[in-house]
Amino acid sequence: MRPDLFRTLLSLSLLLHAAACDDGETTDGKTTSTGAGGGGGADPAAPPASPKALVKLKTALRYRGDVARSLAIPEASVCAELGLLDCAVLHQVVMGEADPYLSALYEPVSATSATSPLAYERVAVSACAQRVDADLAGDAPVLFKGLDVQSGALVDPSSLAVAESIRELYRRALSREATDHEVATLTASYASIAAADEATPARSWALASCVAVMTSLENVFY
Amino acid sequence: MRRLAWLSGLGALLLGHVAEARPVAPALFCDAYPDAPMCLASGEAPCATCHTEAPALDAFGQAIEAGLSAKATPIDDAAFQAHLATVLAELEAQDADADGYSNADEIASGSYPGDATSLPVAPVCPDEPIGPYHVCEWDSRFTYLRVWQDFCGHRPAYEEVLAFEALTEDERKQAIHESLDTCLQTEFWRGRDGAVWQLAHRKIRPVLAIKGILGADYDVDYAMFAWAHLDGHDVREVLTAKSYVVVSPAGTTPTVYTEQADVSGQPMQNTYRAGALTTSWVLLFNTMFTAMPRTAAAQAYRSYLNLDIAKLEGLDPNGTTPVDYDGSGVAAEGCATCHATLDPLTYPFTRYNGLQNPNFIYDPSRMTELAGELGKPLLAAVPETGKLLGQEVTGLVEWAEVAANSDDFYRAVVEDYWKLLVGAEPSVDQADIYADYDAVWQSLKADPGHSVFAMLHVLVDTEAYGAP
Repeated sequence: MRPDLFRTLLSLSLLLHAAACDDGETTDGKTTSTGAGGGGGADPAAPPASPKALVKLKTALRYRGDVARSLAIPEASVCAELGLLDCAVLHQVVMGEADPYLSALYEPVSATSATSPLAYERVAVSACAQRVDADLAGDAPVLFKGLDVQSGALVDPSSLAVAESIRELYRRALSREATDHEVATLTASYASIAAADEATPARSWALASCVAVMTSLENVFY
Repeated sequence: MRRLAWLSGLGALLLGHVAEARPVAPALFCDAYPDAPMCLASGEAPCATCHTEAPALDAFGQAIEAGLSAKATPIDDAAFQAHLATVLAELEAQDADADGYSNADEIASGSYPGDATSLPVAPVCPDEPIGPYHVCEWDSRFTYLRVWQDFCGHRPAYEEVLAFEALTEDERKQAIHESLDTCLQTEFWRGRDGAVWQLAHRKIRPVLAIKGILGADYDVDYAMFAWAHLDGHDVREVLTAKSYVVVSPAGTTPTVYTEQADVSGQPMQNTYRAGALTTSWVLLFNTMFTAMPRTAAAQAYRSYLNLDIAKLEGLDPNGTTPVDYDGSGVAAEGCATCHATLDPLTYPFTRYNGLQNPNFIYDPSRMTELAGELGKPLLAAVPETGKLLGQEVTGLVEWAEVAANSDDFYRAVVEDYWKLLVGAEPSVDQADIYADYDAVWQSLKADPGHSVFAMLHVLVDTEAYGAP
């Protein structure tokens, strides 16, 4: 495993809970009710739940499609194992798709497997890494715009550019504004990530933030 | 799922660990509880009343089994019929699934007494929205996002969501249906391996290793299925079409479906074609060498009417012990129950060649020839006239017509989409959701064009689909 990826995945656990949506946000990011969702709210022990809704898993192709559009990457380039095999196709069964032609699995299995989260994370990490590298290279950035990076580190993690990058990430990934709490959580995570990755903390933070949002419950289910 | 008709869910429970069916059980249950919601539609209880996945028993089924065992051993048909009502009455005050509600209360309300997740109470819905979500009722914003995800395969852009939120409620409803129309034209929905294509997997059962052998290419089957489900076509054509549909080559976009009178590899005579029932792939894969193509008939029954004889579904309550034309023992006790339905279902398939020469055509003398070749003279007496859904059918073309115009067909079509779009099989223990399901398949039936596209517009307006 690449060291930078390893560092990113270490950091990711810090963010996975933080990136989940607050329960009460509207598209403009304002919270309108009590309770909290994921780890980002005031009371993570009491997420609101609909008594009737049937929440569905985004299956492999839906998830790939969403990731591609969110990050402005061609679907075919989102993730390729060994640079050859489309991750969403290779991991289609654990990502909720059928596999009729070779495995005689005509319908998706009714439950996710132990490796399902790994597959979703794999797709997200691959796509986010492409987006982050392109954005930080300054070539028509999509998410992380105007970040002041020197020697691999953010000069000012509390800058407006950082906050706006987070907001743009939420807009593109979840079709809504980030709440103030979500922006603060991701912003604050920079310190711990920088402590784990002294060489390229800006990249690791951006990558971890992207993966955290892309693999949040709000984005994996609908 | 509904499985209201002819399910013999209670049957196997009485036999303990012996997997034998008692198709009278659902009706006997409803004799005891004629006013139970689960009995009102057809007078027969669904499998889930006593089973997890038939024949496996749930807690209520196990309690019945224990009660019957205490009264009669072994439990034969006579004992079953004699004691079931008594045992059910004895169990009424108990709470088999330990969910806090007695079996009697659960049966009376329509929930399953052996399933702790099935409760006889309505969900508690908050008075106020949770964030942007109007929980427990149809929510336009939630529906808009879900339509994009389900039919286009991705979220709308943030700007589109903002624009949607600025609309009035009436305008939102219009925007949802416009989005649906747009998404129904996407490659994600209609393309090769797209959402509609994937619904056909379990019906066609493709095997890549033998794709195209003897000209039997299942791409034609997929294309015929997709054609019937797209662009306002009559969905019944999947069973009744006399023409074929070809699909543009893999790897090319957009996927194009073209209706053609004849297609290479499909030699079936026009008069005897019955849509997806008589393609070369079906005859290759389901009929193969067999004289009595029961697999072909059962697969058709399962695929297009959602009636799975292996799960004791769709059994004819008036079926009589079948003639054992091929010496398979179908008249034996323990076999006749299912074969009383399956064999008459099969007779119309018997004149269609699988891997007999010439392949994949209708041959009126097929059974006579096979009787000689196999040394089974009774095969020559197999009638072509059979029985489907209690109705006599003179051949496979009529079989397909009866099937395609049945309530079971419309239910099955909608159930496929229901599972895909709502996310679960319609279940009678969720009365409001099941009512939506009923309304949707009734709309497909009532639609003169029997269009899936039109049905989908009805479906997305239901609370079952659009309530967060």
